[in-house]
Amino acid sequence: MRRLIFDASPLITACKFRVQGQLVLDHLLATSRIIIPSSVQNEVVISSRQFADAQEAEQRISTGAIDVVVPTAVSGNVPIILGLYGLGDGERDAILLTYRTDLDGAWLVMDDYLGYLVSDRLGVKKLFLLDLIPRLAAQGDLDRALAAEIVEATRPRYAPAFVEHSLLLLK
Amino acid sequence: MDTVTVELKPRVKQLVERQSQAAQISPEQAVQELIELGFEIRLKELYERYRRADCSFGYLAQAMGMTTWELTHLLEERGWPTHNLPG
Repeated sequence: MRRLIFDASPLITACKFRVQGQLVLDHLLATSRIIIPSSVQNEVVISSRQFADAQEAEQRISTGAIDVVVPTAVSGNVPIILGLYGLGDGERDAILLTYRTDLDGAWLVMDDYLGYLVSDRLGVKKLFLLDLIPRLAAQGDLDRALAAEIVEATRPRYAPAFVEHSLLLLK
Repeated sequence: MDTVTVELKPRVKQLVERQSQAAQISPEQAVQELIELGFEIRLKELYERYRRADCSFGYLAQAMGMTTWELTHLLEERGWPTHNLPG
């Protein structure tokens, strides 16, 4: 099964919108394992007291549908490099998870622009959520029409050009 | 609402007294307004940095003392974009 490392932003998007009666998150969980760093889980726990979308995430963490992983120490300059930028704990830890040997081959799903750029400079395999959806459709893991509906549903969370780009990839 | 005791610097104390008289509100309310103004200024300043990709969404949330979920809901309530992607 495909493994996806999520930071908070795509997780929030996936917990916020429903398509065909199901959360986007559940459409993704049907074909992929979603992994989040423990710092993102901490935020989910705090926020679930207040927000229904965070409760959805917490529920799936508690049932084991979403895996929570603690980043391990990474040798070399990576931690120093990550400290150079104005990243939050969630983005930093999600990037660090990609260095775990047991998560080799996992894709980082990162919607934050700075986080994406830093990941790129580090040579980390990463995707915006809006690129993941067409990719899943291209690989036959998501029906194209459903994928287009998901992209359309998440429109409020993205810049218009990014949404239109993804929709064209799905035609 | 939590109550905290703070010692005001003379300049701030003068401002609070003046604002309290001018707006006919209590000194406590005047202090509360100043704190809220500070929160708004800080949020706008950091949000601008986020939109320029000088900092991440998580950084912005942490700097404002909230979770990314809380920040998402706050920005949505205000109609401010939650993303900082170009296009």
